[in-house]
Amino acid sequence: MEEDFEDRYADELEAMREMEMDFEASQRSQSQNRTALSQTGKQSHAPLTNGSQNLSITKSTATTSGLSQPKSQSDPIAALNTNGKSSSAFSGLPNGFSREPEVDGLERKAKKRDIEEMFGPLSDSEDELVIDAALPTIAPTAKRPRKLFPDASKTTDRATTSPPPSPTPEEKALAKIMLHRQQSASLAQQPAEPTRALSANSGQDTAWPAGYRRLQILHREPLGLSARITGQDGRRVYLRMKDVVGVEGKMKNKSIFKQTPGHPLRLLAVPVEMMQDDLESERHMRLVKQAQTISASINGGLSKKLGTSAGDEADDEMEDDDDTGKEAATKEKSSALWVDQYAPRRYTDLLSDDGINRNLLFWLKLWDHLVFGKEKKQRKKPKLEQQQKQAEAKNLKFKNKFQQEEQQEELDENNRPVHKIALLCGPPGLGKTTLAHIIAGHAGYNVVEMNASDDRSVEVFRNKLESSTQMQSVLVMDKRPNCLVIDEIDGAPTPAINCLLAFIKGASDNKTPTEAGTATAKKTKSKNLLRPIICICNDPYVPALRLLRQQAFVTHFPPTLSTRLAARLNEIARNNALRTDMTALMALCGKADNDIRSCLNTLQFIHGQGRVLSLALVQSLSVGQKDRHKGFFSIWQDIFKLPQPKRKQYANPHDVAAGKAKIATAADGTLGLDTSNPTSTTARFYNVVQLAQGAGDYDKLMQGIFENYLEMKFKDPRLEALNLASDWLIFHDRLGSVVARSQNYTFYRYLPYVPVVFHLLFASSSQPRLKYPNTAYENSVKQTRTQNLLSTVLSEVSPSTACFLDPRMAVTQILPLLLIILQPTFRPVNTQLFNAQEKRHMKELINTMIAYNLTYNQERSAEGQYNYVLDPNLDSVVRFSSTPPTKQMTYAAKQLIAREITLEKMRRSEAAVGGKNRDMKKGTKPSAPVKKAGPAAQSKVPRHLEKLQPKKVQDEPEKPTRDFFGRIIKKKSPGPKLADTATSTDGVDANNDPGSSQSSKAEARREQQEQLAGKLWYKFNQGFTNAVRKTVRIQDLL
Amino acid sequence: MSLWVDKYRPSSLSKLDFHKDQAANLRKLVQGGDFPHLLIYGPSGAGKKTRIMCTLRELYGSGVEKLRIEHQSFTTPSKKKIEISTIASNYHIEVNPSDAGFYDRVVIQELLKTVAQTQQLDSSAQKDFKVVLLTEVDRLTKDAQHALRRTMEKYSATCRLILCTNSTSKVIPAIRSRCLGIRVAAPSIDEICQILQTVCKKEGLSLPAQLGKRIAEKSDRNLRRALLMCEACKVQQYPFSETQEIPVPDWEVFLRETANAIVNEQTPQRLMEVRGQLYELLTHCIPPDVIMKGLLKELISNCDGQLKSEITQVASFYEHRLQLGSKPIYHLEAFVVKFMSIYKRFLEEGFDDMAF
Repeated sequence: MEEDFEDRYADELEAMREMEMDFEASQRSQSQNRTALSQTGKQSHAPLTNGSQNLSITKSTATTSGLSQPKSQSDPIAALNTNGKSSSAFSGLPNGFSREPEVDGLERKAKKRDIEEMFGPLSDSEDELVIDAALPTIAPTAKRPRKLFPDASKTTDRATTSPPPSPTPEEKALAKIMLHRQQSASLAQQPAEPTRALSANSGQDTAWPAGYRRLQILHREPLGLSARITGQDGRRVYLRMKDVVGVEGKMKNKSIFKQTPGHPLRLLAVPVEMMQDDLESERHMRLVKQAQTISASINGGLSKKLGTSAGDEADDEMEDDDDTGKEAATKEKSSALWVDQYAPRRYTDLLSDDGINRNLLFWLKLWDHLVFGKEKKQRKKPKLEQQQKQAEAKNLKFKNKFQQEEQQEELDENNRPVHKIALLCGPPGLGKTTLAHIIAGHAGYNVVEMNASDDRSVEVFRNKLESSTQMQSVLVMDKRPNCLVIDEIDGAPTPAINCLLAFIKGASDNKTPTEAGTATAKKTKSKNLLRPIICICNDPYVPALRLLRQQAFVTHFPPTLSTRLAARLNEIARNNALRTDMTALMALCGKADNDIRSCLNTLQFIHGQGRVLSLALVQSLSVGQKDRHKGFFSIWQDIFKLPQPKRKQYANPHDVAAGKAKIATAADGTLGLDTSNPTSTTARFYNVVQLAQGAGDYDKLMQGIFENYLEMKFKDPRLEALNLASDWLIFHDRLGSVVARSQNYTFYRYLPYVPVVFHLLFASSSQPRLKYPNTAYENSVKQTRTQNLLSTVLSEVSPSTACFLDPRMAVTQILPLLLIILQPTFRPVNTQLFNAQEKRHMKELINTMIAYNLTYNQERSAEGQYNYVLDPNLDSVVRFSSTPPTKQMTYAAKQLIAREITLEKMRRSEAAVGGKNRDMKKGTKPSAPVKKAGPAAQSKVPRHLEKLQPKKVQDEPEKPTRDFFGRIIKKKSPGPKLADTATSTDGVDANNDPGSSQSSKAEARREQQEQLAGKLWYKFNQGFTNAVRKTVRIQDLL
Repeated sequence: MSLWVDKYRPSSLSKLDFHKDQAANLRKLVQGGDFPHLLIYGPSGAGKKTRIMCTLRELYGSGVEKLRIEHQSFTTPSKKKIEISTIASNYHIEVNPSDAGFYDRVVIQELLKTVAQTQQLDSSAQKDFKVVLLTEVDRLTKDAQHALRRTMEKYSATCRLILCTNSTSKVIPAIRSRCLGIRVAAPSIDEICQILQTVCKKEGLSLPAQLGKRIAEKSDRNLRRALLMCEACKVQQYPFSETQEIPVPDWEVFLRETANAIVNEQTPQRLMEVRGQLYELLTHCIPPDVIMKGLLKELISNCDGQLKSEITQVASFYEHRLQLGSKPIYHLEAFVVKFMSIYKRFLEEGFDDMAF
């Protein structure tokens, strides 16, 4: 049996054995004989002196194990000397050897080998060893072993035939039976001595009944090997685990104790006690092994096992293993997160604000009428109202309106609440999700949850929405109606939220006030929403949620009360035997910003490490501390304000680890206050760095600082601080531009230190008045506007001017003066009355304005007056706030100029079109003139010469007309027509319409007969033609 | 075409009014047939661009004057589209790559490749190269300048570059060594006076010599400025009087006021006001380095001799930083603060001396 035991323990103890082997090897070489003798001497000596001493010996040997062996060896040698040779001389040497409980199998085998060499073969059976072990204590006479030996050797024979390491149960049982018989026989033979031994043993037994019977449960983890057991109630206790050898030894003793009380009747082949023993030890083995594997995995090294203290509780462990089993089972559970384990199960367990809970529940209950068909309970109303009032007292003002409204028109025409959706919002860890689940359960709904881990594309979203609100599972026995909880909705894509909105709205829009039953007959898409939906989000002001927010019953979660949370934490800590106190818990709550989840996780973490949650630990711990994401205003506030001495402050654990805190303390001259004292420079430094890092957007942060730091109250007579500050601003800008240009974000890490400088330079104790930094933005907007204006001006400028312009130069040199040049004084009379010089000035002005693409546009001012404004309005580019308003041209003058500009532009465009037409015709000409000019000049002549050729032909008719209408506009003359006929003579190519060609032909013929009749005839296809296409020009209409 | 600046701009090398020997050299260069890359530099308003256009005309004839504005778009490696407007004739293309900001390298590379890879069709009648005219080369990024130097050699058969800049200090030496540098110095006061007189005569106006001299002095030897001022004077008051007020750009007046404000008081509150004024200048698209330069000019005129060098040094330091950074207001303000503290210290020392 013990062999078996050993086997199962073999893995765990291998390392120890090896050590002992080493030791043994050295020992063996010098004193083979002596070992055997000394062991015998010791064994024979110990029981004789006292039972308790026997125990103590085993204890000491168990604890000391291999290394302490020399000492225990030396003792027996002394004992050998004193005790005389009688005990050492008896032939039962193996007995003495085998009695040694602390030596494990390998060692024993090694010894056995030695002994075999000296004394012949010995039994290899472990059972036999047990028997032998028991005997000397009872009858250390020379006679007894001889009697015993043959029996033992019989079993040995059998044992050796079978596989040696693990004897079969039958063999074990047989061996035990034999042992019993022998024992009883020996007892019968020598009643005197055994009884004495027995009485000693029993006395010992009764002396510490509690120590043996009661399991010693420790609340703290003991030194060395131990099993951790968590009860149903979450309490955790520890059981000290025995070293294997110690247990073995005890078991041997125990089996003897068990035997002694009465004479066995031998009714059974195996005594009941034995069977019980078997069962018990088997179970024990199983459990111990389990425990051991777990503890081994936890504790890692075996070194601790070597230091395992005495085996006092070994017996207890065996006896109380039922409890152990139970506890081991519960231990599996403890791996679950406390957050889940201690999540509220009932409405009353909720930690969140009662008013909020009630409001939400009330809202959910409004659905009862529709979902469950319950009638509204009228009597409830006043009560609810009362509750509402209570809640109102607590809640924010805008929410009151909400509730009032709801109170008035609770249900719409479909008996649904006005707000079809509840929207819970608040920072993480307040229990929003928990609340939603519990309340839905409380109101009798089956919760269907949808969260960010689900796919939330529009299609999936709609499917889920419809399936959860309009259908019911037929397979599940749970017949409760569904309540959809959409968690983390702020992360959902906008289309999905719009889909949800449409789902709510579409229903209410399409629906005429009929029953829900007819709604199903309608199109499937616009079904009525018949089930409550609860949405949960952290940030209700996400753009995607804007519309939803208007539709929903919005509930803002206030932070959980610290006291309440701390009380609950305390309860949980007590359940788990975590030592702590309320102050530490309150500190933890404060640190985690009353985030329940964070607190619990921290607690469990600390518990897992087996530490005690103290105030100091909480303060130095980085767990439970979230990224502090503050608004920019509060960050700027913190930067420009000296911290209050009493404010709580947490040290950065990394710095504490790095010993920076110590340096700080040394510098400060105060002990241990450096981190807790926020006014120290170090603490301020870290605080600001942390704030800046938390803010993330350094550019905006710096912008705010830049625009506010000059307003702060500070003493700086020589402007040194300002100099320093502006140098740091430049530093910020340089890093920023390097990052932006090279996309090298490693420099980003230096940016949060810039605010520190400003904090140290400009922080004051008074409350800073801060402005939102929008000047930079406003200015950049203005600048882009100016730039756009400039670029429009410059891009429209005629190319010949533009090639001498560039924007820099334009804005610094040309435009300011241009604006002056553009405002000559004119007599406010009709242009017809201008004298020649004035006309020339006017023409120049017009030319200039057109060259720079400027004109005057009529605009109506706010007072209803019309005014001509320069367009594009260069005034805004050129004029500054301080420059005195220059005299403006009169309205009439501007009007005049504007008109002239349009006219001139028209003329130019006309000319351009005409020119283009000519160009085009020249381009297309070759077919006609080539026939006239002959093909001689066609191929060799370069292109530009080719272009010139038709010009010659046209020069004659064109020249007078050109001069002619360049000056006088009004006069209608045949001139332009003439030009037309001349220039567009080859337009006939394209003119295929017989009707128009007919009329134009007639006209052309008449005119040509008048002036240049017959001069131009073109050969076209088979014949000659003088047909022309008539173009009507805008200038004819002017 | 009717501002005097444009109207009386000489269109051929022979008509240039000053630096005539340089013009002769340019003509020789063109006629020599071995036309190098040119780097033309000189202060603003000295006639760089005029000379370039005259040279081009000398090269290609009057066809160069047929200009058109083209809008070209380039795609950066990061798939960003950049629109650049170029001014081109059949023979040359002018581009201001600094319009493209950070991506000027892309513009340079793409543009030069497209231009240089097409040969002139009819090389017998024309020069066998085209000209790419790059203005404001000093505002090119280093990347773009490095991109330029290989292209300059590679495509020299089909394309010549004329670079135009105010200062060569921001042009990398590699490019400077590949070009024939031509410095166009600002005209002297007398030359400006001369030109003003001729222009006025052509316009049929009589310009008093005294006024002409005043204008020339006020123009900082910038001919463009001088002509514009003269024309503005004429618009404001004609017939001219010798003592009439010469209009200056508003921003210069504003900058002077700002400088006065700085000199008058050195406190954070004043700094705040100055910041507002600087912002205003920036929103009017006045380039920050111009503001810095103008401020320095105004401030120096207001302070004692021994401070001048110190303040100039400080200004150059912050101007350099300004080029490296991206938020001009920080740098301008830093300069103002530095000046304030130096000036204040100086004043206090002066008071202390007086006390003794």
